[in-house]
Amino acid sequence: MKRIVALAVSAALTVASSAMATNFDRHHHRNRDDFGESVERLARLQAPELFGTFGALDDSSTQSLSAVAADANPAGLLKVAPGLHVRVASAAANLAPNIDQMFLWPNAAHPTHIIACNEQGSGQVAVQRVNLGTGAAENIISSGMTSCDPARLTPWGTVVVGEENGVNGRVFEILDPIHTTNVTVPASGFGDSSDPAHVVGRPALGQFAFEGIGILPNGVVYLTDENRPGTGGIGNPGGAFVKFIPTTLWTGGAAITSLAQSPWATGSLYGMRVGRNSNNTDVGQGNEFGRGTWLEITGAAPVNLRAAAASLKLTSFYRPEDMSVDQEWLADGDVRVCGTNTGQDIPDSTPNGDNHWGEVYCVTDGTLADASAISVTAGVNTASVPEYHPLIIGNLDFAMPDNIDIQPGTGNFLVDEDGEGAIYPVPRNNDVWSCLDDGDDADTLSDACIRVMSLNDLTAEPTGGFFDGSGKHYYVSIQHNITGHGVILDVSGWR
Amino acid sequence: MNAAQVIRVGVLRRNLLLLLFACLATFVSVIVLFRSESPAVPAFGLARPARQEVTMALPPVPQAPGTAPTSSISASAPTRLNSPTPAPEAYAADLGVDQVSTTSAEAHLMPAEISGAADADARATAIRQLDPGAADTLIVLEQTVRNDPVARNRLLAVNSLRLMAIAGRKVDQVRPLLQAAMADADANVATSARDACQELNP
Repeated sequence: MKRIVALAVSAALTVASSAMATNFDRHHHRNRDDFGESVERLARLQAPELFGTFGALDDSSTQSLSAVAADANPAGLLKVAPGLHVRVASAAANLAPNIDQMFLWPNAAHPTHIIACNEQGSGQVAVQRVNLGTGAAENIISSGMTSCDPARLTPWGTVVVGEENGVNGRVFEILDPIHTTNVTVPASGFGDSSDPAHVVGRPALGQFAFEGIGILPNGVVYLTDENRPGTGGIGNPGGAFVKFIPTTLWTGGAAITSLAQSPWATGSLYGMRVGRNSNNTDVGQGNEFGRGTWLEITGAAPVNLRAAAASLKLTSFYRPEDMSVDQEWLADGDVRVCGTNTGQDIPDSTPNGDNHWGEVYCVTDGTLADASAISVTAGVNTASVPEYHPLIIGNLDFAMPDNIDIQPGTGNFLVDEDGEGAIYPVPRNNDVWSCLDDGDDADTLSDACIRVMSLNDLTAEPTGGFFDGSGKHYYVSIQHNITGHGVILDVSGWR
Repeated sequence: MNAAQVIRVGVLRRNLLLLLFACLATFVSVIVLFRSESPAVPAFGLARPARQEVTMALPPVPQAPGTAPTSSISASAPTRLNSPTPAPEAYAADLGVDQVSTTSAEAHLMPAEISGAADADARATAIRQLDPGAADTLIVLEQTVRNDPVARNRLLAVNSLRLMAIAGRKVDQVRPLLQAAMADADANVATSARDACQELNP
């Protein structure tokens, strides 16, 4: 009798629980309060310790300010998580409308200016400086560049900017950006600028759609090509991951006084190809993760890097975007750079919806010494072994990651979303997410992310987000916002 | 009854209660199970995020202006400009390149940069790049503000109309378009139009 009763009870409870589960969520076929949601909730609850905010934004903003309202209060273009504050760094009428990547000058600890790329056509301003005290914007390169996107400070005290412009993309180096004004560069090629003492092209770095730039202290730089798979023909690869090693590494010291002294005047290029099995032959579609090799890219400068990537069968990704060097790893003597691949986020209610929401990845490359060495055998630089792994896999709410920066102090990843939420039937704004690094757990993925900012402008996207040296100020551009001019906001309040 | 018998009866009662509970639970479970069954949804379907279900909904429909759009634009303007708000199906079709029929594309009769842009982002780019002084700019903006299924694009069009008026271009034609947009089904578009109207009529 006892056994019968026990069996009946257990059977009844089993049926009841399965019925309840079915009722909670037919699609997932599990209880709505699933473990993943518990983890997400826990991350939000622990936001002060984990992310430096008092909480998270539960949802993307659906608000879109009018131009009148945004001009009256540009800070209102951004909604932030509890505990964070927004200040306008600049909303000058002449601040270019498509400000993308930017950085602090002369350094991240005691900055006076922001130097920024403007992503427009060759007829528009390409590089500006913004006075942090007044918000005033001035032109450094006034025309000639197409879609200026990456911008970085070099360890030798110059500025590098790049064009996201297909196989015509170029990198330019600028000396003394505070006293260099209204320079024009040729619309294509590497001819002289109007001020060759202060602005020169760098053909040694080759040509493709420059986006991610990760510079190591000795001048070695990782580069990505913002290229969509299928560009130029079905089956064509996406964007490759390339490394440039200067002929003469930068060993430190005072800033250079002439662009001829730059380590980027000459050097060699290597492309990452994932796959090491059977003498590095398990390469191609289906092998994008894990260890690989650096293949030597030969040819006279400027090399067409996209063509080289195709011929060398370099591993490609879906529109690689921004990149950030992990300074904590560097402090330990190791190299790790993390970047984004946007994927393609279009509503799946349309035939062209991919539901490919992009990813954040990290590439390790051994020690700084290994990553900077050259030892070529049979076309392979064997001095270091690149290893690629995804860190964050995108989703419908966190789509098309674009700009990325690693917060000093916490090591968290701040990622600017460039998704297509605005064209979904229920429009939503793009967000900025903060994500934990992978810890000591078994997987190689971020442990949690929370939404820390959301735009209040459906016509805009957050771009170029980066921290100052303290990790307490996050500067972000509200690109192509409704006001028609640039807006750079300073988000503080990080605990 | 001795102590052993008392215990045995107690156990029997407990077991009977448990059995009764089990029967009730089974009955309720079966009811719940059958009520939750839906032939349209496979019980073991793929997990999909909730937002995705939302994407299947139709986009917001911009309201036709309250007053007859005795178009502010010349008589040569496309007839569709004065046509009633398209059916929701038309909006869904406009969202995808492959869904837009040749017929509807031809019916737009818009400048090449727009008429060739069935993709919502391409239309947005085209709106951003319109020359305020071009003859057909107002036509494109009116077409967008009245018919584009994507609120973001209507927001851009409203702002472009506002900028035209601020610059003193075709103010008499722009004003009624902005007033009409104040009735847009999307609150953001309506608010933008309202703010623009107030700015033009302080």
